[in-house]
Amino acid sequence: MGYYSKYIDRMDIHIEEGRGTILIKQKWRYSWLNSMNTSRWTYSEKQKFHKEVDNLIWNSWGEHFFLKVRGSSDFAKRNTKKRWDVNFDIEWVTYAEHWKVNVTKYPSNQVGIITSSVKWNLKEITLDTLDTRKRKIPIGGNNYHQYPVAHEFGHAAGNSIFATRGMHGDEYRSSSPYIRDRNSIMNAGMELRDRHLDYLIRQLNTMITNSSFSIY
Amino acid sequence: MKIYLILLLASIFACKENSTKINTSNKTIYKQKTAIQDSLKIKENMLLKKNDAIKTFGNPIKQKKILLSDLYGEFSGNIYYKYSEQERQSNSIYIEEITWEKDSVNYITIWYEIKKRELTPKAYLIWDKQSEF
Repeated sequence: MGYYSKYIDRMDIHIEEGRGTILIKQKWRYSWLNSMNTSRWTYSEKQKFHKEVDNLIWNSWGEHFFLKVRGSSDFAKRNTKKRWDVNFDIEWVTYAEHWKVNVTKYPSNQVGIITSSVKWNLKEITLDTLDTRKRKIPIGGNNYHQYPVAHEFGHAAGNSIFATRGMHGDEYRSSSPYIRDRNSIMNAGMELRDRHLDYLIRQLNTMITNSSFSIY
Repeated sequence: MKIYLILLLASIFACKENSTKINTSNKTIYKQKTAIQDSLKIKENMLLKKNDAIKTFGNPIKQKKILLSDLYGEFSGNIYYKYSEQERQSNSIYIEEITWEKDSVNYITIWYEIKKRELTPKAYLIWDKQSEF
């Protein structure tokens, strides 16, 4: 039973054979910014924000995907029957980060959307304090709900048109083949789809020779 | 006599110093005002009529006509909250979303409300070419 790790620019990937788990870990270095009429960030506010981010990502992305492994390697053979869990963890760091995360504090009564974004190539995420709140998105008579930070994390987890050739990103754009799948987390909802793990499976499949992971 | 002379000179210097201070602070206020006005001017100018935007940025790289109720997501935030929820759900407001290449780093998207064939600029977003929302 072994422990396999891969360290790439935007995340660390750990395969723990004994427990049958795969952990995707990203290190985020925050820059704490303020909009007008807001007080400076206190340490407890920073901690609270990070905790909310980490919990939202863990709860919305974790314990959902289950993988199997096949192949001619000893590793694949001895794990044929195993169902692998995939979990996601965000670590707050002050150096050696995967992602630079700019977070702007807005007044709690702020109305409207402050545009958040991810720049895959620059390893940069732009968030604000409204992104950890559930947002109602009414479309065509139906209401959808989304935690914006869980959507933005999706980009950082590889759902980015810049990640690799042919990769998918925002699904609410008219150019997306998934525009009608409004419950999807990369669209207006919070539901995960197998395709949201495409990039990570590609990465996993480079870690152990002759071992190929796929959705269980 | 000497004492009076010293006092007189001291008061003259004090007045000069005060007036310099006042002038300097006025200059600072003036500079600040100008800076605010300039930034407002830049913001106003970005909400361009379609013809002016074409003159400024050239031909659009993308444009589409869409129902306001079908516009959602982080990208459309600036236009979304220009309307009440009732207006957004009315299925009667059409928007023209037009994107230009602003410069080597950024795109600019301007949203126009379509009313009687007239396009009224309502909101815009300048966004980095490498951004996803």
